[in-house]
Amino acid sequence: MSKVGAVLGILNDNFEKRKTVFSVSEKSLTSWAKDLDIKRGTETIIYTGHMYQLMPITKSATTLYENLEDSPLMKLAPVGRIVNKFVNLSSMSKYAAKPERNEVERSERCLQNIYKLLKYAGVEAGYLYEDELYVGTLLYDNGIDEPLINQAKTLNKILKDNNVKNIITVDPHTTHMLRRVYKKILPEFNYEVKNYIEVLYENKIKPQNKLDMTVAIHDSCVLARYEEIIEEPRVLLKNAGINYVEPELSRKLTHCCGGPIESLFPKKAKEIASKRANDLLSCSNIVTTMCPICLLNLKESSPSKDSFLDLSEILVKSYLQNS
Amino acid sequence: MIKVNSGLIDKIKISEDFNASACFNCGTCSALCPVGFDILPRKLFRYVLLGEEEKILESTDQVFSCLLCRMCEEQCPHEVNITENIRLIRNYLAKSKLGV
Ligand code: SF4
Ligand code: SF4
Repeated sequence: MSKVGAVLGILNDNFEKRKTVFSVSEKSLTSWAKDLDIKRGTETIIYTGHMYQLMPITKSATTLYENLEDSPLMKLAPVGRIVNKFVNLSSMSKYAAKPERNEVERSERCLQNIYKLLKYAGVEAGYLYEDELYVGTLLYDNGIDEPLINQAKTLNKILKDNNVKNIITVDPHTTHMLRRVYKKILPEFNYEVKNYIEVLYENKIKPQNKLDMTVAIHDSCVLARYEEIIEEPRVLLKNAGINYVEPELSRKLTHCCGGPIESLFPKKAKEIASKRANDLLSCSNIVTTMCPICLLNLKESSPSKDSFLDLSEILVKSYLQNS
Repeated sequence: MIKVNSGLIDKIKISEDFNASACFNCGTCSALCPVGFDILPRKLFRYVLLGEEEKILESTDQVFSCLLCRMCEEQCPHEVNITENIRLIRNYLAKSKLGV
């Protein structure tokens, strides 16, 4: 069995058994919402898709894989799939790859920022808490779409039971899956799906103070090319007083962060990310990303880790903080 | 000797979105590819159209190292659904060859 087959097999086995690809506790998926008093369900919900929460784990696991990639241990990947059927291999990896506390707190803060920005924009969004499901991007992208039909059906039932009509997503991949892919694989999956950036833009939120800073924009491939969300973040940044600059490859021609192949080819992913990070840093020493995968990959491949900020981290400073 | 499997295209073309035959081999798609794909989409699509199953299998790592970033599609003059084509080739490989 090839390494690709083994890794995909593990992801698929996990998904079939646990409805997700990595093992994470329910508590760590929902703890960002703990102090926010968010209603359960409701007609409009914020949908995290678990992506921000998974990033700290992905970070530690990728470092682990990277060290393994050329080692004889990797030859054991096919065995890993068999073992994984009996033992929870991905939860065992928790011991080898512990997420860092500050990374966990940062991901949670990004989600809190987004929720608070939506509230400031006048949008009362509920949340499904532990009923929320991972939407299966990693499987779909790798051509494994059959198990997703069941996931789409289960999610559809959960949404119907909660009378949900509008879904506000926080990351580009979940936006794309729920807005187009689920509709394609399950025609009755019919909800209004918007990314939070679109919602803030449409609600014309007003900044409380203007920031005097220069920021380089990194468009996400999925947001810019699949979902055509390009102008909205620029308008939000401009209204916040920010002088944004664009790398040579931006907007519809944005350059990928390398993230999509990090579980299969971590070295190649890092090479692509570091090239992109350098291009961005040559425009400004502060860079904004709009996707947790981009944030993680660019940050980790660059020596100036503090230069990379999630869009929500910049927006709260202007829209939610009185000067 | 290359083994040709004439039924291969039917196994891969499980959806109307698979349109490799629209590719006219110009190579524009590879100009800005962040992976520097050495098996260019056009080459891969030829293998599929010609039923060269072994060549596709040999290219497994490359097929799975595409980022699905759509940079190629942005420039393709023939509206080839490059990333969806690649995803469907992955689907075939995962199901029929990789034991997923
Ligand atoms: S740019 Fe389009 S038509 Fe030209 S080789 Fe690539 S896929 Fe084929
Ligand atoms: S989608 Fe794949 S083939 Fe196309 S430019 Fe991106 S990495 Fe290259």
